[in-house]
Amino acid sequence: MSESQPPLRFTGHHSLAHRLVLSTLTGRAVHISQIRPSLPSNPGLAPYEISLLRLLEAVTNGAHIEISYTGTILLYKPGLISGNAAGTSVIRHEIAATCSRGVSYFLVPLALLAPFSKAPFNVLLTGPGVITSSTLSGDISVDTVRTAILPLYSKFGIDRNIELRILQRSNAGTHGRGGAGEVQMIFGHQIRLPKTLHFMNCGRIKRIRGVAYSTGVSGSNNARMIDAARGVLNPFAADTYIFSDVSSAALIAAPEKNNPGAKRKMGLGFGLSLVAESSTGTLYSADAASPPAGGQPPEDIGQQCAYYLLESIARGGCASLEAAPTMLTLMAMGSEDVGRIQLGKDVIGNEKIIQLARDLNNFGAAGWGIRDAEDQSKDEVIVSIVGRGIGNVARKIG
Amino acid sequence: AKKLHTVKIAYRAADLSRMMYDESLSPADVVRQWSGQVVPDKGTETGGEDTDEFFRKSRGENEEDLDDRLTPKYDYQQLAQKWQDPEMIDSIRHRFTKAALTSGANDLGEGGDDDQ
Repeated sequence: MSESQPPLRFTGHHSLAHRLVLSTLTGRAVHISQIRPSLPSNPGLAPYEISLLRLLEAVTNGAHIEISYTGTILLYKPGLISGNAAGTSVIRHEIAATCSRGVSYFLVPLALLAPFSKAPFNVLLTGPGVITSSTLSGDISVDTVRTAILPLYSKFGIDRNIELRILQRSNAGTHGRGGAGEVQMIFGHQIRLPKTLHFMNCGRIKRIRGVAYSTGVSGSNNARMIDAARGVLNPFAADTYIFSDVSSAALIAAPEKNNPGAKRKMGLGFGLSLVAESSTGTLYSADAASPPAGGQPPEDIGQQCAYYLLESIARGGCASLEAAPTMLTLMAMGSEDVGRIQLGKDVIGNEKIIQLARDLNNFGAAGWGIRDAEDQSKDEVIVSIVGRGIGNVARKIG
Repeated sequence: AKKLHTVKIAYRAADLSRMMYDESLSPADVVRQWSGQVVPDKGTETGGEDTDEFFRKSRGENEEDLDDRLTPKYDYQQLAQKWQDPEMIDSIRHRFTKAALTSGANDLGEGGDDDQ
């Protein structure tokens, strides 16, 4: 927390969200330059990144953000993670209609900050930019966050009062931008330090759960997606259950010249989220949603999602590619003890994870130890991570 | 010295821990080297090799890696083909508690007999 430390310097827009999270958790300021400098149409920070910065500002106290005129340079000095200050019941964050990312882009970083907050988190994400479905830009759906990311926190001893309410569903709107969903995240379990994790046995898949959602379109799409997905998955797991959620699309104001009170529907579409759970609690997830341009039958989406799930399972290890950043970060923020996790070689051998390892190292965490798993037949490695032991600076002991 | 490293076993943990914090390699290069992939379209000249690879990579980054994706991008067609292959299905069957592939609801196989 010392002010004298110079900001850490990064370049490029890669893993910006995660760098901001690490910066907030460790209290180190970051200076990020060359953010999309060569993009002729829109250089600099994207609207969703600005929105994320605003959100970080809202849940912290004393954050300082400087953005250059072109938006290609960002200086972020984090504040203390305060959560909901006394008196405010809910933090309302509006996401503008230009947002092209799913709301999980905001939820996953938010969830990472929440355990280290002073007060509980109660954040309502709303506005014409909230897309609750998965998107083509690689975001997972809200259902996957709820069923595959948030349960991971219980492995670190963070399991109480965590809730993600989906108040209004929405798929990506035209051109993949905007939706009109509404999501409320309540994260009421604040801790001093996450428990040290030793997770070496990924077990066997015992059940598959899923949520099929149709927003503003016929519910038969759900049945068709579920049927196709089950067709692929049934030979593997007997215990497969996919929920079906049909909801109407949100109406948003669309004033016209002749009809100023006009409204139109927003965020129509359908999608599927699948989560496979193993006997030891490993969660593998997969997502697929109808593209904003349309033209894909629900059978394709269902099959696609099922194949993604098989691919994710085949990668192996105790954390899926989607879960690994969350788990590895929590491990690195844990007490000064060695935690171990077994990861598939294609999970650890992923650009993002390697970048994460380097970023963590830059933020002062010790390097990861990597060795082959005992069971040579598996393509897996054991990663040992020493926690930083700073944990929650704001929370009182006790 | 670089030539010596071309022949090596892929996916060795020791290699990864050596390369992981080597800032001279980009994460993409680490992945490529660790998985033992040979860079396609390699120039025959040993001198031009490095620059070729450099330019190819930077172009690729601009095209596809514009956003931070949480989930990887899949090629649906390839994936569908891959998972319709019985060999592939067999290869991950041990990951499930249900041991035998059943052909239908009344299959006589010992489905679900494993320890939970």
